Amino acid sequence: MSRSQSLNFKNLVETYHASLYRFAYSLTNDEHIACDLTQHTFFIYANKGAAAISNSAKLKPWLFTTLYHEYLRQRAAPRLDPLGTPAKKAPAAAMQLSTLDGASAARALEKIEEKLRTPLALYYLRELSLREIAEVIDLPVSEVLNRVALGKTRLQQITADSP
Amino acid sequence: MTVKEAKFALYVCPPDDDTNPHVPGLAEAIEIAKRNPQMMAGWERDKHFDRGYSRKLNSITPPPELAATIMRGGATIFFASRLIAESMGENPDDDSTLPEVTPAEPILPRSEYLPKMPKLDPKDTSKTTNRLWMAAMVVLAIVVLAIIYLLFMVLLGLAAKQPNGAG
Repeated sequence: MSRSQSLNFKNLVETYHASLYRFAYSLTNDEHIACDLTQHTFFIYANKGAAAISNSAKLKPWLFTTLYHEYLRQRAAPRLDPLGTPAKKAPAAAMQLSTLDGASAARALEKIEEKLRTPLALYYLRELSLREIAEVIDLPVSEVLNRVALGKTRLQQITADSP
Repeated sequence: MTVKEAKFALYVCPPDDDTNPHVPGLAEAIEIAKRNPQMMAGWERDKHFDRGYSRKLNSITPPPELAATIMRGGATIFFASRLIAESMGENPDDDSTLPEVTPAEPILPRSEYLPKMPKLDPKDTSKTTNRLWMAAMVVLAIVVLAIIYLLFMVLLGLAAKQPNGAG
């Protein structure tokens, strides 16, 4: 890793860890898994990403893409949970938009099917452009827009229908 | 552009981003909405929802210790990479961004985490002598017990040989 290729790791973490955590939390609705995903993303960067990314403009999409791939990988892997204890999740609550907080906003997202949830989360987090969102989930922009439209409709129903 | 296409463009347009270049036909859709109050009202409602939901989702905050944990882990990885580079004969000094290695806890000297063993002083023979005395006492006790057992058996034998007085 050369002097010109690398970026200051500390600054990188301070700049991006919160937005990456929010993305991970939006996908999983689980604080511990979100922390793990965020950490793992930076460790992958420390291990090989720093050498691989020469253009700093590509850094943020790379981090989001890496986190998303890590999420898909973990989701596909069998869960090692010998006690069979379910992950702790907050109970369902009313989801009127005016009464939502961050956690309940993520819970509302969790009710939306996976293929709509990821583009929708990235759309509302507003960290990436629509083109970058398309790159993260490896779809054409037009398909991202279709999924955002479907996801928004579903989200509006959820926030309106909840007791 | 049809009204349906215009509605779609407005619906997927990120809030407060009326010039988003990735939404096809957005400028034309806005022009159509300006001539259609009902469509404009619907768009405003959508934008209100999008802004509100985006604000809520962005209010999620990571645990306060997360950044420090990541930095420590990253520093360890960088440090390990540097060691590997050095062992392979590469010049790790080319790297300017090695973060300071600040482990989670200070590395303790070996004496701190190993169990404390008693120091053996070759001049100090008192403990060795005590152990020898204890061994000797154990052997002596076994011998005494064996003698008592033998005596008991001999007495039993004698008692068995004595004729019954009634004979």
